[in-house]
Amino acid sequence: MLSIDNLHASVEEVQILNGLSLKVPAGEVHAIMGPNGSGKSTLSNTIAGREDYEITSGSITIDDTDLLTLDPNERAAAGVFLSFQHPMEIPGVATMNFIRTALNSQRKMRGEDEVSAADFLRLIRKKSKLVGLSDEKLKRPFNVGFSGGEKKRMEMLQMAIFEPRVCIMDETDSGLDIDALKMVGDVVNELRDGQTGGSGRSFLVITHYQRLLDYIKPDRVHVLAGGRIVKSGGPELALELEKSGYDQFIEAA
Amino acid sequence: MAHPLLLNPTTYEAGLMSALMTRQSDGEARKVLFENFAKTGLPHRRMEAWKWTDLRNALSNDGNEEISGPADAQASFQGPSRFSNVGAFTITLDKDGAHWGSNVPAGVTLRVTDQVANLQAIVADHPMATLNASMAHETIIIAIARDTMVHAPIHIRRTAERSGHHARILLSLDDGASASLLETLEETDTHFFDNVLTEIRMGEGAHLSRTLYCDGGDHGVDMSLCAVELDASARFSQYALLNGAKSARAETRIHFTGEGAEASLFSASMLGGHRHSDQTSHIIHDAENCVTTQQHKSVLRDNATGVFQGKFLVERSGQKTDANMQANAMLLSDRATVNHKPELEIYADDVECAHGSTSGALDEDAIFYMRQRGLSEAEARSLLVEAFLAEIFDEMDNEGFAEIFRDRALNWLSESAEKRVAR
Repeated sequence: MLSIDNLHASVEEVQILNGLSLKVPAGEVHAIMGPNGSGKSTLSNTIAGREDYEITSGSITIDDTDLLTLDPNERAAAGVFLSFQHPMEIPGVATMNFIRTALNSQRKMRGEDEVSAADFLRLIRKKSKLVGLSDEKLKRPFNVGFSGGEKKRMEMLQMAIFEPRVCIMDETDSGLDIDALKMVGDVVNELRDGQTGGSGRSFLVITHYQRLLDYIKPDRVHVLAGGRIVKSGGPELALELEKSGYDQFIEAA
Repeated sequence: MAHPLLLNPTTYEAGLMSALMTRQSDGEARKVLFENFAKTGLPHRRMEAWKWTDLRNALSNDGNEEISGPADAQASFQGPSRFSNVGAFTITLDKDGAHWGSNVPAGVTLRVTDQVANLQAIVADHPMATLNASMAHETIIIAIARDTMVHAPIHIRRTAERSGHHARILLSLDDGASASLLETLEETDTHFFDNVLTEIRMGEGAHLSRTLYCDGGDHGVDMSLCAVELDASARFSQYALLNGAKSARAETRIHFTGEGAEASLFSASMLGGHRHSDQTSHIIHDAENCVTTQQHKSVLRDNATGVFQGKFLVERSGQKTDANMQANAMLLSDRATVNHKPELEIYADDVECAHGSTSGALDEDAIFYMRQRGLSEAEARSLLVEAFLAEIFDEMDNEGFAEIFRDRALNWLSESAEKRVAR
């Protein structure tokens, strides 16, 4: 379970998160919606451990592990995966080599055996079919020359391979067409329902739009405004927001 | 005793001048060279081509006034070369001069002379060339016969065992000949001044690959100058890994004299501590349809200083020249310095010449991304630097040499990571 308690965070001395509290139990999908500037990306970066964000008080834990004392790579090994809103291009770094190095670093930190080259190849072949990335794309330097949609597919590929315990999806749906949205839904649902410990996994889906939620059915929907959760409800809340907008919450915050 | 031609010589220069005075009795050729050198003395920062590499200063205060002699007390030890398993024919330059085994490859003639040959025109006025030729302890003459393909790389191994060592190498490839030249100076902790001059003449359709590995340690002064003259359709490729020294310069001067010839120069420089490395080139397009491709990449940490000076001179006779020069620097410390000076001087009207220069730090967003995926900060930084340099190593035509370069880069990067942890 991902637990965030009374989190206060600032960037360059500007307070962004003001006492945010949230629990995402294992096996559940929670959606976070909210107007621009409400702190959605700050929340995802803070969980992942980006150093530009200063935590002034509060806590973030996965089960009994305190994330705030860990480096970003240790958080990854503890099971945190962030699907970036704007994934990086990394020229000169071979895609397969990078993903395998990352996977094995995580496994090593967890005291697990490394995945052999042959096993990794089988794994990435299978998962790349699921996300719709060709072999040719996997042979390129990481994300170089990829379209926005392809970069999001690369995020989903890594999420499928790493099988994280906490998946944070920061506007994964932005810039995606219907087919790609369906692909994202397939990846999430496979991780959620799969036999690889799916019931132990939490998902935090940050989005502006209801449409992704047609493919990933959330257990809970939260409205983030002014740096804290101002309303929570079931899936019907997302539909309601789509109709009425966020104006009501901006004042409430 | 100071020579009257040189005003206000440093102690080192005065010593050099008196050594030269005694050698000029060897003949008229040495005397002319010596007088040429005496016009400038050791190159220094007030000379435009040497403003970032002040040799006079580098040799003025290291307490090493010996003009010729052991580099320092423990200098006679030679470790194994990291190039000992590449199947090369090796010529070793140590305190006893030049020597080699009996396995001289077929088609190669090799001899040592104490006669003074004329300098190639493109280095005739170069102070390091005139100093070298007038002081040369030995001149090694290597000739490769027409249409001969020499499979074994010819390895010139400098050991810096003797300071103030001036070795001169004359390599000629007759028409259609092909060879690979490897010049190395491997890690050494000694104080020394080494000044090597390599002059290469390539006949029609000849092909030479030159690989350069220079690591002069923290105390060495390492000067390497190479002149190349290419006849029609000849191809010259150069790959360099430069680790610098207290002061180091690897300079290449190329003269295209025949049509349709090609030169490519790829160099990587990795510098830490207080090291300095200068990669300078001067390429003269003096014939039609010649192509030059040049790329230099440097990675600098601590207080290191990198220099890249590249010049393309396209004469009127150089129509249809296609020349491209790129220099990219990555600075890992805010105390490191890099100086880039690309220059184009063009007198022909139908040419394609381009140059580009960049310098910057590692991309912090990319580092965070990689850390989020599970890499430690040191692993992420190292992978990015490796990726930056890989472009140079991937160009190399000898996979064995490329592997040695890559290994060296990885070692260097892990030293870098250890240092960071230690701080």
